[in-house]
Amino acid sequence: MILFVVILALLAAGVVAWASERLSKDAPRLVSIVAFGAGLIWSAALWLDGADAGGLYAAMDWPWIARFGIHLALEMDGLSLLMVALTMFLGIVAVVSSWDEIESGHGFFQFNILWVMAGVVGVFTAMDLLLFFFFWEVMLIPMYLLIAIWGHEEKAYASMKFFLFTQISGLLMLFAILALVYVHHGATGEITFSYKALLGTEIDPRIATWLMLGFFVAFATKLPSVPVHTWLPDAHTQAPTAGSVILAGILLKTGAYGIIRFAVPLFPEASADFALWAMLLGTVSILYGGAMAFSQSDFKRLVAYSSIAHMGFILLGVYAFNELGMQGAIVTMVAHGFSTAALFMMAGAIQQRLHTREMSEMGGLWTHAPRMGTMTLFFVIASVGMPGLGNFVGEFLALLGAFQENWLMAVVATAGIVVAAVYGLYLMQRSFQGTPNPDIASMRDFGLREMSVMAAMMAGLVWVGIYPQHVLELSNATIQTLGVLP
Amino acid sequence: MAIEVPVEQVLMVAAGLFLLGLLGVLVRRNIIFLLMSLEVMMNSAGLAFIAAGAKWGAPDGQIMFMLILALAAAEVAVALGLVLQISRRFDTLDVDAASELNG
Amino acid sequence: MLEYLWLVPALPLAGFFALFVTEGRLPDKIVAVIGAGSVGLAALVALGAGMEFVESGEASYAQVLWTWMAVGTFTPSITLYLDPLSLVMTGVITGVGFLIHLYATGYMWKDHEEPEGLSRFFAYMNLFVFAMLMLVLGDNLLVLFLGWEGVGLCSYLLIGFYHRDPENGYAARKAFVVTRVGDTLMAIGLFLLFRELGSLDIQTALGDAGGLDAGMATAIGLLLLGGAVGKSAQVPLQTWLPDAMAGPTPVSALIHAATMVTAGVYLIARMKGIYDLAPIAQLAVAIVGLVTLFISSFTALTQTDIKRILAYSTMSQIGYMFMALGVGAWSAGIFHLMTHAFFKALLFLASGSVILALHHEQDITKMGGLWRKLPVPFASMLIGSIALVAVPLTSGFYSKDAILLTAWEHDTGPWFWAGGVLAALMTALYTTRMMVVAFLGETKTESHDASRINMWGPLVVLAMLSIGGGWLTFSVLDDLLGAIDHIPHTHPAALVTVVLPLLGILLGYFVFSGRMNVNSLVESSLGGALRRFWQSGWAFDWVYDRAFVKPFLWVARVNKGDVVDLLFRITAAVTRGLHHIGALTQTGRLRWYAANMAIGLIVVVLIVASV
Repeated sequence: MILFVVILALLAAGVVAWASERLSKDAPRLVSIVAFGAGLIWSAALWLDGADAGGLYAAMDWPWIARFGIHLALEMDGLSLLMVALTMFLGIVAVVSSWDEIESGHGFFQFNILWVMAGVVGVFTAMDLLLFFFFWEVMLIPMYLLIAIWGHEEKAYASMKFFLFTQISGLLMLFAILALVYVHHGATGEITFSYKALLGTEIDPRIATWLMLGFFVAFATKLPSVPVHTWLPDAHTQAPTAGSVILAGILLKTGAYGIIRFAVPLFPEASADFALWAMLLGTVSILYGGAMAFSQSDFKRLVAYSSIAHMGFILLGVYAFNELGMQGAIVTMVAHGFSTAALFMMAGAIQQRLHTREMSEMGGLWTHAPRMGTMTLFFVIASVGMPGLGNFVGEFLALLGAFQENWLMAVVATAGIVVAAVYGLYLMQRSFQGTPNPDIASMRDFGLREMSVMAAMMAGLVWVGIYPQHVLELSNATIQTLGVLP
Repeated sequence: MAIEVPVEQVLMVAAGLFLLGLLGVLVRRNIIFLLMSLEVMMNSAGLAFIAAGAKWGAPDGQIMFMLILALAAAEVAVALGLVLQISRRFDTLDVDAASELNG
Repeated sequence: MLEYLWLVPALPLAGFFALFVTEGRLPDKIVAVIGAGSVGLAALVALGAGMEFVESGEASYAQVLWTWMAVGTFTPSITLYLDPLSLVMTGVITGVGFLIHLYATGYMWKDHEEPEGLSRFFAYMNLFVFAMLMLVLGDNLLVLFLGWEGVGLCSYLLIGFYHRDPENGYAARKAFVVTRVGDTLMAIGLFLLFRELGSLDIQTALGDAGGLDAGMATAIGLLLLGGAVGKSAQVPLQTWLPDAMAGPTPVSALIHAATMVTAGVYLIARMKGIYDLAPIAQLAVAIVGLVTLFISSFTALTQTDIKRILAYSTMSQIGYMFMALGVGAWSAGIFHLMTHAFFKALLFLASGSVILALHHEQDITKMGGLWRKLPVPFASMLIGSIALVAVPLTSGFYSKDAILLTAWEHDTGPWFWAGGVLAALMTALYTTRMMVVAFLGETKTESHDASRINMWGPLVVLAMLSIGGGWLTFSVLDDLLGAIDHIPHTHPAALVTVVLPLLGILLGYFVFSGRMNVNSLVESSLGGALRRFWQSGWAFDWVYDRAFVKPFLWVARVNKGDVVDLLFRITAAVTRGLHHIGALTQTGRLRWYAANMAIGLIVVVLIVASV
């Protein structure tokens, strides 16, 4: 019940934010901040309250379209809670990061942000496959609008590309869902879209592989993995800062979440057979994403490609099929949410100040803005995988888990941390270090508003980095109940 | 005393009319002639209906003819409006001049 | 005091934190007090804890702080582990570290390039000391790896401290990336170790190591050696160290001479249990050491930048340490690590004083006759040099002697000994060259020594340690690390190790002060080619540049647009092409449509009729 209320509340907050634009241009942002802040407090309260005996923090199950066995079934277990809390937090970050950037349509902008996030919360909690698909689409369209309306130079191209990739891969998932329900109906005579009912469906292995691929392609596109990653650099680069923060911080995680929650548990055997290929995709993503990141001259595009590399660790970890790898993937999801959101926020801040994302037009920015330099340095180091910060824990666990399963793949993937150092430090060098660009007379440094968000993200990374136990415990409950580990 | 006209002959006439109309549509460029050719084609269809109705002794053919009459009237009403617009905008009644709706 | 062991790394961390959150707004005096004071306090705590530890007579002491992460059976904990080895390392890091910090309060005061950067400098330095302490005190390889990467990060930050010069940035990135190659190997070693032994706790793992088969132990040993080679600038990952001299001189003294670069030695010594099972890996350690020793001493002979000479010298001395570990002289290797920390820190700090007095001139050929103008730096350099050359009775002599004598008795024959002795001769030659060219002869530049007590004080202390460190610590180390086998000094091998460096000094003096003319040799075509080859560091950079850097850059340039995207671009283009073809039929000609309809209808009728 409460979950449904939260989703409705976010949707309603979107409408209120839109309407409140008449009052002042600050009103929509405040509505968003309050909504996300309340959501964050609510998830913290749920966490402190603890789970019930079944490991759930909240659950509801109402019939929706009873004739086809479609339910409004929402459930929140450890993993969902973790992801929803991250969503709420990054919602605040997104609003703050676009504070000065948006010049028109404040109300509709916040409306879109809130609606994306409502969809995301639905995705993270849906326990009915059709409902899941519904929310999957709900988060797509406002995101498309965010890019198409408030994006940069090539927004039309980028938003259309984003839309097509997600939509076509989503269609495959819809086919797979319908086919799965059909198969289940054939086996039991019952029509249901319920996740739990479909979990143990006996499927002909050949069909199972195809259905699994239907899910996998949708999630791998969202993740994204090579070779269906090419929408991401365009979408991230062209999106307004808030859009990039949400895309990188949250939307990519829905892909990872989908793999962990749906693609693998629904088709355990097919997934196990596919594991080698998935790990290979992960490894290729790590290396290819890293190499591509290095090639870029656009600050934002570089960070976008680095996301692809980081997401490779998730594939590697999940398909290692052991606890280490799975935990590594989940910690990576959280840590990457912080580190990349911060870097995109930085990219947005620089673009707003210098009106460029080209690193060749930067250089020596540290001199003008030491705080921004320090922050960039911190998050670059985090994403390079420095022990003591969150990303390291995730990536190390993922690699450690993968090594147990397939040492060769893990060894090749480990080389990715060298590539990460190459592009990460290169980013730092070309933007903030080196000879100050004489064309830049001055640059406004971060103020209190930006620094407080940055500090929160730093604290998050350090927290996950030196005491990841909270995250591990939350996700452990889910991992154990998924029943995919030996 | 009605003269029995074999239905084949009527259909031949209808087909001939239809062909004439079609040729007119394809060949004439003046939009007024085009419309007239269309009317001829419609009337040929109507003739075929009547012939068929007479043959089977059913009222359907005549009903269909009335429908065609109504249709033709409606069509002419719309079409003449369009003709007026075209002649005003393009200063000609040449239908090929109004070929702006292309890929 | 032992229960306060956690304060040893915590104090520098607190110093870092204080400097970090204040964002450089503190007055310089307070920054200096925090920066040097935190390390000084840590040194005091370490001293107290160390004394209590030695008195307790226990073999080790462990302080569990918390479980870092717990995933199934993988439960690395953040535990501080004190045993003789980590005690020696902690002593060196905090003790020498404090002296260098103290010196840096003078050296970096109102710095010429970064007058505002004192806070940033000490923040990085404190963070480094913290990371280095975690490296040596960590009881778990993952904690060790935390320190390992942490020192690498601080090394990067401090090499690139003068960040406005892109050259420094390049040097810093090179250092980080090249050592990361080693780190990657080490990480793989950790994965393998965990898979085989089920734990990354060093003591647990070494306790279970007996169950490893020889091949696996060799693989782990070699992978860990890969990490050590990167961090300790040994062949083939040595190329970053000379460039790392771009950092401020105290950084070179602390990170690139006394502590971080010896982390590899520590790692191998710490994992002795693995190498005991893997003779091949151990032999590889010795060979790496010997090769580095050779390459770097020849290179040092041809360099003109005083810091680069010292950098190559550092590489060669670490080569000695690797060789020591490889031939089984474990204690001697660590002993040399310690004495080297004393005299090399002294040499770097003294050279720093020289550089400061000459307004940042580092080329020794532009110096000359400095001994009169700069007596304190000269005396310090001299003491450091004789310890480096291993003149009898200095600290360097005892440690190097112990290594060479063990090498003499190595199973493979006296080859390592011969190489080591030859390199000792080279050490004498290049050190004498440096001293003669820079300090003797005619005065070529203006100089004024502006150092104050916080700068020459550490020099004096380090000079005393460089001379006396051998006796002072010999007895302590014997207790701590187990007695070093002493071969009587009347043995012919021992005699050679004593006499050869002295000969080297004499030869060097005559050659480089111009009393003996070797121009014909140097200027012959072979001589010139060799000199250039050596000066380039045996062309390693050249090879790596062509083998790795250029191809990577080429790929990056060519593939900037992402070749995978072509797949989708082509799909889009084909779709668009089809659209255009389809659109061609839409002419807008009404009669054309009518004709088409008629033809289409006829075709359909014909088809239907024919069926």
